Amino acid sequence: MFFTLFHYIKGFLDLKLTGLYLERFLNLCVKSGIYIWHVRKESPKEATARVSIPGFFRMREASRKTGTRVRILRKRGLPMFLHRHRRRKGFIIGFILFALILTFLSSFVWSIEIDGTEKIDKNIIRNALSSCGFREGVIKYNIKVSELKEDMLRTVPELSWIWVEIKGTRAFVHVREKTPAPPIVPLDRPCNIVAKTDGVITDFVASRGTPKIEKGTVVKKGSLLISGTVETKHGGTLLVHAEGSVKAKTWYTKTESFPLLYKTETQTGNEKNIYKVHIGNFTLPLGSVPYTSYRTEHEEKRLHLFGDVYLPIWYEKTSAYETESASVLFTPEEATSFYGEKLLKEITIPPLAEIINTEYTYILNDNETISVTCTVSCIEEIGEIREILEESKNDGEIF
Amino acid sequence: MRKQKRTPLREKIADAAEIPKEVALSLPKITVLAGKEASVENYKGIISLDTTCIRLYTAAGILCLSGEGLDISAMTGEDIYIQGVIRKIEFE
Repeated sequence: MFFTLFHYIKGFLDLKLTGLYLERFLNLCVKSGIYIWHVRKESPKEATARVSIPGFFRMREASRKTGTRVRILRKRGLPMFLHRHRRRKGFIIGFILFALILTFLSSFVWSIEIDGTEKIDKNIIRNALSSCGFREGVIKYNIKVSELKEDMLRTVPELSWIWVEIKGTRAFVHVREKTPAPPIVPLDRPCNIVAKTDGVITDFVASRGTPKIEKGTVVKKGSLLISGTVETKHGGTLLVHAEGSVKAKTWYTKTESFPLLYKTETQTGNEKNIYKVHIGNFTLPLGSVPYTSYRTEHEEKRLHLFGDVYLPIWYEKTSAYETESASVLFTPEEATSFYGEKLLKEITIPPLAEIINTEYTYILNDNETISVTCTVSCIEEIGEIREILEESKNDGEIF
Repeated sequence: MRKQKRTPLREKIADAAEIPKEVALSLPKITVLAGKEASVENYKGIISLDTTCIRLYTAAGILCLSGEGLDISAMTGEDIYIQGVIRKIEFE
């Protein structure tokens, strides 16, 4: 296989050998180092063989010695093919154009993919990239990746790290966001610990400062938990940097009213695939959905060359599944547990809070609607450091 | 009358040095693949050639390969590759 390709690229000749001493002719050729293959003797005086182009010219002596006539049946291989079609201008122009267009089109960045964003919107990064001169359609050779990275870190201060790689016509931008540093109050500045949220104190440890609470104290958001004001033995007061941990039971609730008649959709099993072809901004739809009510799924496939060169042409496959509407009448209890779980997902609970109980309760509004309340009780750290400001110092009970 | 021919010195040395015989004495080495392909290394020349029989001259005498539709798929100064249906391989 490999040799066939090699011979094809170098070019070879199909020969017809005529003579009485063909064996001797072949022996002579081989001894003078000519490579011959596909030798087949068809009749006592005739044989066909293949030989390379330089080999053909070196056969003269052997053919003279043995009186063998060498006739070319066919010239084969790439050099012959090109030589035969050398006058076909369109063919050559087409080939050159193909190479040029391919190089030209693959020198652009056709798509930019961003990953690693958590809080920042991808569009912000996209806009920042384009303000740094990096957008879809720029020539990739003009982009200095290291400069772009530095520019990006300057324009988007929320980013801590950025990596840009250009693979073929696609660019991948990997980013990492900075974790905002918590406001640190230096240890020598006096401060109090106050409540972040409402709750009932379950446990507290004051390692420095005066606790103003007891177990079971109900606190509101912002109320003083551990004071930075400490009374000294001598009767005076001293301002310190309060420290300690305060745990409290907190509640998160959400209430919403729902209809008791729940509408669902079930699939009938009929489905139809619809294809759309996108070429740049142009869309060519093929077919339409014949159902009145249906659910859809999308799938996109982009055309690419050699794995990495992506073209702005893609097709979209939409699978439509026909649906039927059905309805269920809930009892209040069923409705409560069903909607309660739905509400639970909507409640945001601080990540460090420990959930101890979840409860669903309901109130019937009338015969058709129900108000469901979801209550989540947690134990969490509610202490928050708050600096004692200058004015309060002046107002307060200091020395 | 001459006694039976003695082993030549070359062969003795080659045996002692454990050099493969086909290298030391340029003896032919024949490889056959399932009666479809055969290759002969260290052949000296072609004696006769047609589609039913190929006779080669080698250091060990004349080698005759017979079969149907035989042709030489490639040949160099030392090796020859034969394709076709090989029925018999014999030294004459």
